[in-house]
Amino acid sequence: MMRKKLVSIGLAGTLAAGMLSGSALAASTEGASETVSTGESVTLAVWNEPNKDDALNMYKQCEKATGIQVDVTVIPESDYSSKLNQMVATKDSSTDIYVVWETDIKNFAETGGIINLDDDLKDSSINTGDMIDAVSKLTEGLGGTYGLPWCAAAEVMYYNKDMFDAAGIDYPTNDWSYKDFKAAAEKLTQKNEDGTTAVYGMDLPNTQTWWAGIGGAGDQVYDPESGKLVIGDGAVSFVSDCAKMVKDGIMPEPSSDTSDLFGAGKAAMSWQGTWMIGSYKDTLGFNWDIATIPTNKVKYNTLHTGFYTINANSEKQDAAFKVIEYLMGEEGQTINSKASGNMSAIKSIAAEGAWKVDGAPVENWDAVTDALESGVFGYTCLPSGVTSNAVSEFDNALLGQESPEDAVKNASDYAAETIGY
Amino acid sequence: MKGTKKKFQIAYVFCLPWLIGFVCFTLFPIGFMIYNSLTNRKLTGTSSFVGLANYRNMFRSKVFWNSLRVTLFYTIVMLVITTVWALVLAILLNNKIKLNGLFQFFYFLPSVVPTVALAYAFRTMFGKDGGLLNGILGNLSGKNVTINWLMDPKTVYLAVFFVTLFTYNTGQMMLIFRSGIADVPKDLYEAVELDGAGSWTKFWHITLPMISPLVLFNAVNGAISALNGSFALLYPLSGENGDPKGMTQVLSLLIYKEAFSNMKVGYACALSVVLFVIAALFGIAIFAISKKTVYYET
Amino acid sequence: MKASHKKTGRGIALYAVMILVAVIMFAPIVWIFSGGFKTLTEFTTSAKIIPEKMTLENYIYIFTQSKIGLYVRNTLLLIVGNTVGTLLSSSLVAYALARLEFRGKNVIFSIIVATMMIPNIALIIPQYIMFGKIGWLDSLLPMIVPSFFAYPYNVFLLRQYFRSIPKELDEAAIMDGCSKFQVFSRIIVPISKPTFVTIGILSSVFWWNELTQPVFYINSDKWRTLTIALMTSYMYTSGNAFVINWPSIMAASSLMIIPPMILYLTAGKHLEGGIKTSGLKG
Repeated sequence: MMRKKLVSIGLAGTLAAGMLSGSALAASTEGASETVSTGESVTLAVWNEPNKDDALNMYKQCEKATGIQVDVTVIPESDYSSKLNQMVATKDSSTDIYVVWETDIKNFAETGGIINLDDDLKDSSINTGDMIDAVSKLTEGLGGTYGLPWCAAAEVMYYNKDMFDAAGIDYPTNDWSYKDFKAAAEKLTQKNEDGTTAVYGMDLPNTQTWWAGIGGAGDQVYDPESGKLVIGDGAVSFVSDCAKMVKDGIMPEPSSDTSDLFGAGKAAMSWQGTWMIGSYKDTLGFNWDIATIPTNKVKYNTLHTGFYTINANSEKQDAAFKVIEYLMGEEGQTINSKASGNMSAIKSIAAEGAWKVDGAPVENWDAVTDALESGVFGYTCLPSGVTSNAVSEFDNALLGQESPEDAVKNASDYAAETIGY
Repeated sequence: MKGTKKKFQIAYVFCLPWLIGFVCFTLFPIGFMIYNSLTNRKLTGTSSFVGLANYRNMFRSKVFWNSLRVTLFYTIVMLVITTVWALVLAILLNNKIKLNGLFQFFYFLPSVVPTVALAYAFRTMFGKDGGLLNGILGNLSGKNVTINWLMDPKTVYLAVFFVTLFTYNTGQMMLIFRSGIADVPKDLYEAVELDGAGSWTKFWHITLPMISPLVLFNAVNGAISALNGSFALLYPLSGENGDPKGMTQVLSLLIYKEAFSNMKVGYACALSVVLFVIAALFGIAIFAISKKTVYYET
Repeated sequence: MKASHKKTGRGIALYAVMILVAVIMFAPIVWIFSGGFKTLTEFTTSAKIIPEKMTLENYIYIFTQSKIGLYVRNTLLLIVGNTVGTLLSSSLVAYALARLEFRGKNVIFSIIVATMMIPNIALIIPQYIMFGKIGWLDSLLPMIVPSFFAYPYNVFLLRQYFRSIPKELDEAAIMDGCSKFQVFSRIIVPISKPTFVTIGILSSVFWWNELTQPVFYINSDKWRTLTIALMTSYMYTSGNAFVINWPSIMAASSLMIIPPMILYLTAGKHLEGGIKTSGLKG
């Protein structure tokens, strides 16, 4: 539920071609035979499928480079976090590398489920001094390096150029104001004769971009000091805006059979993660581009990543570190960026621009850099039950079932009783 | 004397599998649940004793009270609706007409469809834009119907309880009623037919009283199935938050959410204790009722 | 003349009602089968039962790209494990309760009846912690091993059946020098075959459909059952992560409906009989 995010673009094109279906195993043995195998192998748990194309599959390339076989265990993201917690709880040693989410890394470090990497890093080629600020701050907060970010992704606004042309509106820029955005959404909406909407100006915010809107309206969202959800006036104003748009038929209602209206050409704008660029490049039948999410008061963007960590109960910690060293190195990071469209969290590697996905019709790549500049660790540090509950409350407000004030209050109340347990 | 002693031992050996199972998989978990409900156990396994804090927080939580209400409401309404529907189906099938077997096939098959598949089917049949129901209503009215069945508080219960008509429990009750009705002695009907009684009178004055123990039994048995089966039905249908507005968040969903989305295992154990108590109350009810009405051969 | 008119009128009305009910009850199944042949766009925008543009893509995906074979294997392991386990253990206990005299028998029987009333879901969290402690999570063990220790439900069913077997048969065998266990294995078990089949069928249907326990206990792909594969998108193309590919789900669901359907068509009497008695509990 929490993060339908970072499902790398691999999912789109390549998933259709085939998921893992034995490929992880088959592939790894293949890889081993082709290269100098050290006979070592490590298991890595992650939530998204490895890229089907060998050249874009960082794990396979890692096998070639290091001679260590990498077995990938894919756990669906809907219960990724809970399954990892469970493995830590049972001192499971079958998985050597966990890709840990923001919300869990602190807990895992505190319970001793993952090891401190500082010693290993001393003699390693990984340039930890070159990480983006948010990541180094998080590491400071943990009192040591327990995990290394596999990427840095943010959220942007996708828009349908054809619809903007037809409505005679200028394309959004990265300094578009919130007012511009609302006016455009209204103009882009096309109604049927009976008053229902044929094309929405703006798609519903998704579980991630709700927070961009709320943070952008001035709320802190997540307080790293207390670990609490902090929402108030900003949330009320953003939820109210959305509720009004729903009422006017500019934005669709949440429903049980929600689908991607932007992708289906039934919504002109949509706020989603940068990782959708790779997926959309192959599937959309219209012209499109991206821009920074236009927010009301401040620029706000949730930073998305996951951390390579080593299981404290693993018996292959040295091999695991070698694998991480490759994945965090220039080659591993570049392959990952090319495959997923996610930027590297290492500034010098990101600057090379491998994340500008080949073949995507995007002209405004600055939108991504711009978004990342305002990126902070936000809702992803909260328990998923809290954030999914909040989004449910916001949905209620959009459906007119409760006032935005009540929705925000209920969400905060539940968060207060849940966090700090 | 020796012989009897030996017989005793053999009987206990026969019972051993049950005894081990009972101790390991029922008795111990009950104790363990109560113990853990007094700790702040997290999913990562860390825990310390917190006394009654979980219960205090629970009784203060709006979400819990809502969930408790929803659980009781869902359980009771589901058992009433499914019992009535099962009875209707059984009565329809009791008419000796051609193709009866075929009808029974149609009526019964949904009960053995995997619940997840059923839930997903209904999630889309009740969909707003491409849903079957809105499609039919649209055809009938000639207008574009966009009722948001599962997200609108006014329609969500209608939709959810409609789905319960298709569950295993309903099919099971239908079969029980069917054999119960078939067992009603024919001469009872013949007697009132002479008085010119219609089908309704016959049903009301003969069939129903004759099968009343089954009705009661089924109903309370259905309550337990409702408690147990709610997770598999509602988790894919309306999600862990029990949308809309927590109106479908039964305790089993809340337990799952607290344990696995919020990692509060100790708290989830406290919620489980409540669910266990509710189940026990229904269990006592089934005993009380069945002692009076259902013939037990012990 | 008039009376017969009235009768045909009522007959037609009855048929009409029965057909209407049949249509309602069968609608989800038809919807699932029809959805499996639709494209995503058609599925989310139109409610037609017969697809405008038939596609086999969803099925092709399931058979060529998903690990459906593995999920079927895991589901079958659950079914076989549980059926064997519960028949072996429950029949022993049921035999003791039905035929042997011993102190505490009534207490045991009462406890068995009482435990039938506990919904699984109430104890699943402590069981989950417990299985975690002994390292059974992410395997089929938490769902198979307990069956070897007699499910109360099945003990109850078998006990009722054993009691209906004439005692004279046992007595004759004992006269011939059979031990209690021999009476059980040579007399009771062979006679009870139909009940064993019934329990087997019931447990197959149950485990084929079971979602709750696999959701709690299974993490990795290698032990996923069909139901969780269906729920967590492992059997269908998802493409865009935000869009549930409903037609693929429907295709996978159709495949999951077929075995129970065949079971009903071939062993309908057993299935119905079993479900009936398991509900009646005596």
